[in-house]
Amino acid sequence: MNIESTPLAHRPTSSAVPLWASALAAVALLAVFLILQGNDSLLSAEMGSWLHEVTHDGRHALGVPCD
Amino acid sequence: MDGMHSACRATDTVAATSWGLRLRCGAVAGAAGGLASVVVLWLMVEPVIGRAILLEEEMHGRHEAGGAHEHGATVTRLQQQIGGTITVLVVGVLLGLAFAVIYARVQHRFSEETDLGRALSLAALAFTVVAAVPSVMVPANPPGIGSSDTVGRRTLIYLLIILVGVLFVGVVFALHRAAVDRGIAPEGRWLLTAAAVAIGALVVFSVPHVEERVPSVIPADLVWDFRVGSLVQTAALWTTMGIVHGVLLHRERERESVSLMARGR
Ligand SMILES: [Zn+2]
Repeated sequence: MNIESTPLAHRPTSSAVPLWASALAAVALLAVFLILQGNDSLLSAEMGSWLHEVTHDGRHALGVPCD
Repeated sequence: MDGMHSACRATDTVAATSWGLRLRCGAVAGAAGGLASVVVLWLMVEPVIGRAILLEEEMHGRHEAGGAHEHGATVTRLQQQIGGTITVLVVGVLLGLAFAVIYARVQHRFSEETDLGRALSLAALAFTVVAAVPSVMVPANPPGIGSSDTVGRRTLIYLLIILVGVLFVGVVFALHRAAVDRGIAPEGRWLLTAAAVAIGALVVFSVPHVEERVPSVIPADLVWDFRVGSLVQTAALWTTMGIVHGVLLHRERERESVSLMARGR
């Protein structure tokens, strides 16, 4: 992979990313974090433990630390 | 999505692929990555989880429908397998959306001339930072192996490695740009980057290792197979996402420039 400095003429320059798009990306990443951590802080204990169990194979398979 | 469409103003013609389209490309690429990852999950990872559960059941001498865990939750193995598949797909789509936004932001920093090349570079970088490097210090484990005493510490180290990795990539890119601005020759820039990566590797390897005891009924073989399967799975996710995102974006750009020309702009 090369890191380049002088953009070629036809290469797109950095398109300004609107705030809402950055916010959407942040929300998407936060959702990934909550799903993969089986985070139950937003849920009842029952729902939390259900989420933990039902996402369990996915979490281990994607290499996220778990017990 | 069409509402967002009109809300975004294009900055320049061919680069102006609208945000509605960008996000759709991201979501589709993410779904494709998720699917590829699910294929590996079923071929290489689920069979190993099955082996681990069988061994554990033998050890406990009784059948436990809940699998390797004893949280008291009423989730069957089949539900866990379906849930795992859905989890990977959902994570793929969400990562695809984030990928589309980050790609729009940083694509000009890559030297590859095509969207395919740049998207693949970004995907390779993402795989390295969020999967490959953390797996060196906090490797994947089949269910039932990690201890709940250490899960907090392992999670913290795992997240810190990812966070530091992202910052590190930013620093290397900034260093590289600074070197270009100062007129440092390509060889010098290459050396600078190599030195930075070497320092980064040293930092990763100096992270304290969390001692983990694998139950004696679990063969080392099984743990190895699981870790390989897990890495192949995340590699499949990012590679496929990068390729599909690059191809879709390329097609959209071509379509866009054709229609712009047709309109005589
Ligand atoms: Zn677990």
